[in-house]
Amino acid sequence: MSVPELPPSSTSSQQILRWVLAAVGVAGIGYGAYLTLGATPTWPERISTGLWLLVPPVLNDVILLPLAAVVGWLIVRRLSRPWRDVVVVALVLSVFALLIGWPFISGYGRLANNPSLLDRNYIAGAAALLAVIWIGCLLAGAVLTGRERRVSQSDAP
Amino acid sequence: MSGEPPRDGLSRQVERALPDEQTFASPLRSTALTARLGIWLGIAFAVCFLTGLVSHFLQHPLLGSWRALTSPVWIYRVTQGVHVTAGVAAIPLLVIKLWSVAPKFWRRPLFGGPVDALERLSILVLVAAGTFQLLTGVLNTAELYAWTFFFTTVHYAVAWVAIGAIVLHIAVKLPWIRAGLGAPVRQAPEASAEPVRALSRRGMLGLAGGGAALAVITTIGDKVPFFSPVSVFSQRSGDGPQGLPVNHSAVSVGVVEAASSPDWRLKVVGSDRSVALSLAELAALPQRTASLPMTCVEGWSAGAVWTGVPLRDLLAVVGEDPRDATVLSLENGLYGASVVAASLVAIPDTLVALVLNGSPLDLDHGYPARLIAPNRPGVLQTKWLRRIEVG
Repeated sequence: MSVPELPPSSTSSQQILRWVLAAVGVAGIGYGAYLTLGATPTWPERISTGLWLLVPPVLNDVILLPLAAVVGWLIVRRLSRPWRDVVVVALVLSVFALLIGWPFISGYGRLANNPSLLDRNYIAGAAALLAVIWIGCLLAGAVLTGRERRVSQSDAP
Repeated sequence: MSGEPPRDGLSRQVERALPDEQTFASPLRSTALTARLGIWLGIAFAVCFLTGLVSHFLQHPLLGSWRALTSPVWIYRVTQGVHVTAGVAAIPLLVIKLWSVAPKFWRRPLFGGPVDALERLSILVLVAAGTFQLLTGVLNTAELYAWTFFFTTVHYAVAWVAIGAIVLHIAVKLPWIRAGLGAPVRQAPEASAEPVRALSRRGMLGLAGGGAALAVITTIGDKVPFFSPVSVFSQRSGDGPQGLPVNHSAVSVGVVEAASSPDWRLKVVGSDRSVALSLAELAALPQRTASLPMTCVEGWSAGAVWTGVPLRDLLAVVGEDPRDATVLSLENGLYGASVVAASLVAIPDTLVALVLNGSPLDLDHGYPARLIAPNRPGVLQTKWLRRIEVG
C-alpha cells in the first residue's frame, strides 16, 4: 500500500464535518431500517429480506475473495505476462457479463401471455458477447506479445 | 499470577488457522485506487437515490409540488432510464471496489474491541444494503422475483439504509479518502519493471470503467433504441403489438371478456352528475393526438403517438373544471386505479386514449380506452378504463 494506513492529522473543522456526516448517515440508516420493517409486515418477508441483505456480503468475504485469490494464483503460476493480464481481464469482463446477464439468460421471468417481455435470444447474445470479449483479449495478447518481443530484441546488445 | 488463562488459547489457534490480510496481498490494491472507485460508486448511488426519489414521489405524492411533472414530457423517461442504467453500471464498480478492500475483512485482530466492531458493523450494513439494491434492482428488470417481499417498497426502504451507510462510510474514511485522492494511481512497482505492462493499478481502474461501460451498453437498448442491436441483455427488443411493448397483458389480469364486451361503457362521475359513454360516443367527441413516451419503472421506455379525448374535456362533460381525478380499471389488482393530479388533468395532452400509432388500441394496450399522460410511471398509465371520478 503506497498510502500510509494511519489517517493523516485532520483539522478540527474536518472533524466537525465527519461527525455531522456520521450523524446524517446514522439517521438515514435508522429511517431506512424503520421503513424496511414497515415494508415487511410478515416474518417470511423479513427472513427473505434478511437473506438478500446478508448472504451477498458473507459470500463475498468467505467464498468469493478466496476463490478469486486461488484463480489468480493459478493464472500467475501457469501464465507469464502479458498473457496473465489478458486472461485476467477476459475473465473479469466475462464475470461482469454473466453477473448482469444471468437473470435474462435464465429466462425465469418470461410470461407465456406477454410475448414482448424478455423477447430476445439471451443465450445467443451472451455467447456472442463472450466470444467478442475473448477474441478481443486474445488479439490484444498477440499484439502485446509481439511488441514485447520487439522491445526485448532492441534491448539486446 | 498463575490464575490467568494461557494467552495462546483457542482464539489464537483459530486466528492462526484462518487467512489474514496478507494472504490476499496484491500489488494492484491501493488506497488511491479504492478512493477513486469509491467516488465513482458514490456518484452512481447518489444518482440512483435521487432518480429513485423522483419515481417514488410520482407514485406516492408527499409534497404539493411533487405531485406531477407536466413538462418536458420526456423527463421521467430520462430519470428512470438513468436510475436503472446507473444501478447496472454500479455492479462492476462495486465488484472491483469490494475486491480492492476485501482482504481487510480478514485483518487482525478479528475482534479488536467495541470501536473496531462498530466499524465492521457499519461496513456490513454498507455492503449488505449496497449489494441488496443492485441485485434486487437488476433482478426486477428481468422480472425474476426470487423473494417473498414486495419489491418496490423494500427497494425504496433499503435505499435509505444504503445512502445513509454511504454517508457514514464517507465520515469514517474521510482522511483516507483525502489521502487516497491526493496520491496518484501509480502502477505497481513490480509491473513497472517489465518491458510491456498490461494490468496495473491504473489498469484496474480502466477495468472497472470498462466493466461499467460493458454493463451499460449490454442493457440500455430498451431505453435508447440506437443500442438495441448490441444490448444483448436488454429487457426488451422494443417490439410489441402496434410497435409498443406490453408490461401486463389483458390475459394476465383477467380483463379480456369485460374489455371486449359490446356492453362496455366508460362512466364519468362528477360531483353533481355522471355519464356513461360507449366507445362510439367517446370516438365522436373532439379528438386530440399527442406524442408521449411510455416509461416503465423497470427502466424501458418507448415513444408512441396517442389519439383520444383530453381528460379535462371528459370532466367538462359532467360540469367539472380540472381537478384531481381517479381513474379506475377493469383490472382489480394492485394497479387497478390511480390518481391524476389536477395539474396533469389541466393539460390537453393528458388523454383518455382510444388509438395508438394510428390504429385502435390493442387489447394488451388497454382497449377500449386507457389513460396516457406525461411523466407517469407506466403502472399509473391505467389501462382498460371503466370509470373516472373526481377527487
